[in-house]
Amino acid sequence: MWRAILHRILHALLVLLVVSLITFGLIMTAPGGPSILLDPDLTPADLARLRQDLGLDQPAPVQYLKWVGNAVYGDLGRSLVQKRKVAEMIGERVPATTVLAGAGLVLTLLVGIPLGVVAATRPGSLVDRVATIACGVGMAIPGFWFGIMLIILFAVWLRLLPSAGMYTPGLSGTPADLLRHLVMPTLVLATFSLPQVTLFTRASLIETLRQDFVRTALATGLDRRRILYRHALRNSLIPVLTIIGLLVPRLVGGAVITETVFAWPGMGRLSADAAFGRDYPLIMGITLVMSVVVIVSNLLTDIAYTVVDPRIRLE
Amino acid sequence: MTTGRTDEREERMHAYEVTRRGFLRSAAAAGAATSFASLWAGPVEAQQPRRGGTLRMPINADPVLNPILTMGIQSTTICKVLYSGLTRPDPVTLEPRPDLAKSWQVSQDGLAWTFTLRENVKWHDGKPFTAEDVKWTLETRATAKGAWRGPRAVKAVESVGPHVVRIHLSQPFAPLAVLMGFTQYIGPKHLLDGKEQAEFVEFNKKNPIGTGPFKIKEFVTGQHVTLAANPDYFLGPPYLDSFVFKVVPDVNVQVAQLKTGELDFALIEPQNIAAVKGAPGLKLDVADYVNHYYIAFQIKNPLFADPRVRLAMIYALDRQAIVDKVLLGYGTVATGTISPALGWAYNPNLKPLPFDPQKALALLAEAGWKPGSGGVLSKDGKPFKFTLSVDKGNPAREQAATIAQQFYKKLGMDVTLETMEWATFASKRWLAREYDAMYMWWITSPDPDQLDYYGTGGPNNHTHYSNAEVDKVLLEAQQTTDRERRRQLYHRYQELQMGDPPLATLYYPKEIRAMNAKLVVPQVGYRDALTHTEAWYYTA
Repeated sequence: MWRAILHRILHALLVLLVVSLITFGLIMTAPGGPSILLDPDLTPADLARLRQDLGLDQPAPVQYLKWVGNAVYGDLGRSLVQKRKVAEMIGERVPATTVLAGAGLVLTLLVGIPLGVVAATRPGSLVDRVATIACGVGMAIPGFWFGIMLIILFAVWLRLLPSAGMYTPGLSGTPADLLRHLVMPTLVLATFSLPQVTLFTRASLIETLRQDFVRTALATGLDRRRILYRHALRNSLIPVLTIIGLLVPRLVGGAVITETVFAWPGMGRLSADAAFGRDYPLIMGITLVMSVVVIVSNLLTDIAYTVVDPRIRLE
Repeated sequence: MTTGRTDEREERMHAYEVTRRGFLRSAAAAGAATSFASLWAGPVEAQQPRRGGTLRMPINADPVLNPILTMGIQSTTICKVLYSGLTRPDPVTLEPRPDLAKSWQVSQDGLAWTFTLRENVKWHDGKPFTAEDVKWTLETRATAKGAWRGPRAVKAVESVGPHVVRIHLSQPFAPLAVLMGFTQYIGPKHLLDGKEQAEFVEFNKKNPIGTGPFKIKEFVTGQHVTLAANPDYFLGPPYLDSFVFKVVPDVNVQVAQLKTGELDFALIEPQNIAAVKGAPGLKLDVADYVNHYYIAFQIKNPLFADPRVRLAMIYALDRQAIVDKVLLGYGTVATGTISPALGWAYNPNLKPLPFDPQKALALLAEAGWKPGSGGVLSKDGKPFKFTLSVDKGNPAREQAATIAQQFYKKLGMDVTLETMEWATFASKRWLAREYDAMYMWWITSPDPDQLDYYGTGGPNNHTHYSNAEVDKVLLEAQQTTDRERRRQLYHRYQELQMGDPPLATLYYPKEIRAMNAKLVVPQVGYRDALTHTEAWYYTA
C-alpha cells in the first residue's frame, strides 16, 4: 500500500504541473488585465514601469517557468493587489474555510446518510417522498438567494442570529459567537451537499437491498437491522464515499458565493477577489492549493474504499 | 423593484427643489416641519451631540492602510480617518480649509506654495509631526512602487523650517490646495523611510500610524478594522469612541445589517431604498458629490466628429426619464461636466438641454444624416451604426444604457448594446479608448479643474475631444489662483460645452446614505465627510 501511495504522490505532482499550466494559460488568455493597471491616472510610462516591476512585461512562457521555479521551493509569489505573500494570504484564510467546510461536511454526513437510509428502507413512504422532494428543492435553490432569505428571516425578522461575518467585532475568539455566525453559512453550504449524499445513499442502499446476499441473509432469518447496518449499508457506501470525495473540494473551495454573501473570511472569497482583480499569482496559488485538496481528498477516498470493502486494494 | 410609489416621488420632487445649502438653511430655520430635513433626516439643529458611541460602516474588501499607496476604495476610505492632509475640504462648500497646515500662501508667479504647519500635531505613536514628514511623503509618492502619485506640477518640496514647507511647481497650478486634502495624505517618515512601501506588511496591515482623529486598534484580516478615538488629536478628541470598518462585500447584506443594527452607516443604491425606508432606528440622507455620468462618443470615429451630432445625441435622450427610472429620482439632469456639488464653480444660469427628438433629427440632417429605407439614418449610403458599451453586473448602469439604446433606435440609429465584465470593459474599452460609445462616469476631486479630462491631449481625455477655446479657458483657470477669475472661467467653460459638448453628460447622481437615525454626518459626499470624522456624532 505504501508503494501505491508513493506512486500516487508522484502522479499527483504531475497533475499539479498540468493544472498549473492550464490555469496559467487560461489567465493569460482571459480578457482584461490586473486591476491595479486599470487606473486612469497612470501614464503610459507609469504603466510600463509597473508592468516591469511586476514581471508582466516578460513573455508568458518565461513568466510561467519563473513561477514554477519559485513554487517548487514553496514560494508562490506576491499578490499583485495586496502585495503580500500569496502563501501567507492563503494560510490565514485556511482556518475560516476549514471551520465552515468542516461544519458543512459534518451536517451533511450526520443528516444525509441517516436520511438516505430511512428513505431507502421505506421507499415510497411519506418520509421517502418528502425527503426526495426536499432534496430536489435543495439542489435547485441558488445559494445566493437562499443565503439572503436566511439573513432576512433569522437576522432581520427574528433577530436570532448575526447576519454575516465570522466574529462580532470586539468579541473575536469566543466559541459561542463563532457558532452563532456559523449557523446560516453552514445551512447554505449543506443545502447543496446534503441532498446529494442523501440521494446517493438512498439509491445505493435500495440497489444493495435487492441483491442476492441480502435476500439470502433475510432467508436465513438474520435480524433485519443487523443485515441493514452490518451488511447492506456497508456495501452501499462505495458510491457514497465517491460523492463525498467529490464534495469535499467543493465545500472547501466552492464556497465562493456562500462566503461572499456571509462575508466569511475564507478562501472562497479570496479566490473571488483574486479573479475580479486579475491577481495572477493569487489565482495560481489558490488553484494550486485547491488541486492539492482534490488530490488528497481522492486519495483519502481511495483509502476509505479499502476500509469499507477489503476486496479493494490500492494498486 | 421599481413599484409605483407616487407619494414618495412627490416628496422627493419637493425635496430636490431644496439645494444642499438651501437644505442647511431650511434645516436651521425653526419650524421647517415639512422640509426635506424633517422628512428624511430629522431636525438636525435641535439635537445635542453626545460623546461616545461606535460607528460601524462597511467596506468591500481588505484594505492596505499605507497613505502612500493606491489600494482601492476600501483603503482610501479608512486612510481618510487615520491620516490627515495639509488641507481638507470644507464640510459645506468643499473649498480647501486648514488641516495639518494652518495657512498657506502662493507666490506672485504661482510657482511656490508655502504651507505653514500646525505645531501641536503628534503621530499616533507620540512622535511629533514636522515638515520633514510632508517633504518625505510628497517625494516618496513620486518614486515609490505602487504609490499614489502627487500632482504632476509638483517639482520639488522644500522643508523651510520645522513647521514650514514650500512646494515648488513647474507651472502654476491652482487645484494644489484642494488635491492636498483629497488624496495626498501625509505618512510618518520615521516609520516608513527606507522601506519598500508596498511590502511593509507590519505597517500596512497591522499597525498603521497616522495623525487623524482615530487610531488603529485592531485589524482582523477579512473581517474588520477597528479604530479608536485619538485623545491627542490636534483639533481635540472626537465625539465618537470608535470606528469599525466591517468587510461586507454584498450590498444586500449591507442593507440587512443596517436593519439589524449591525451597521450604522452605508451607501445604498436607489433600488435598496424601499428596504430601508421606514425601518425603525434608521434614516435616509442624500448628499451631492462631485460626479458626472455620461455617454462618451469616440470623436476619432468620424460618426461623432461633428459637434452637431454630439448635440443631437443629447437632445435624443430623455435624461429625466433615466433619472426617474434608474435612479428613482436620486439625481439631477446634467448641464455639463461640472457638478453642482462644486457650488462656486457651477454655472447656475444654464439649463440642461431638453429632450427634443425633432431638434435632434434636424441637427443630424444638418450634419448630413437623413432617414433612408426603413427609417434608418444614413449618410452617403452608410447607416448610422454604432456599439454602446457598458460594464456588466451593475443593474442600474445596464438599465440606463438599455434605455439610451432605445432612444437612439427610435431616432433611426442602429445601436448594438455590449456588456462586458468590469476588468475587460476597463482595459479593452475605457483605457484602450477603443469604443464607439460608452456609458461611464467620473468622480473627481472637489476642484473644477478638468484640463486632464477635456483639454486637448489630456491624459484622461479618452474621447479625444478638442476645442481650442475650451483649452485656453481650462488652462487659464488651472493656473490662476484668483477665485473670482476662476469662477468666471469655469462658467464660460460650461457655456462652451452647451454648444460643443465633449460627450453626452447624463446626470449628477445623489449619494444616498442609510444610517442610524441618531447619527449626524456632514452633508457632503462621504469621501469628503470622512475627512471630518472628529465632528461625526450621535445625538443624545
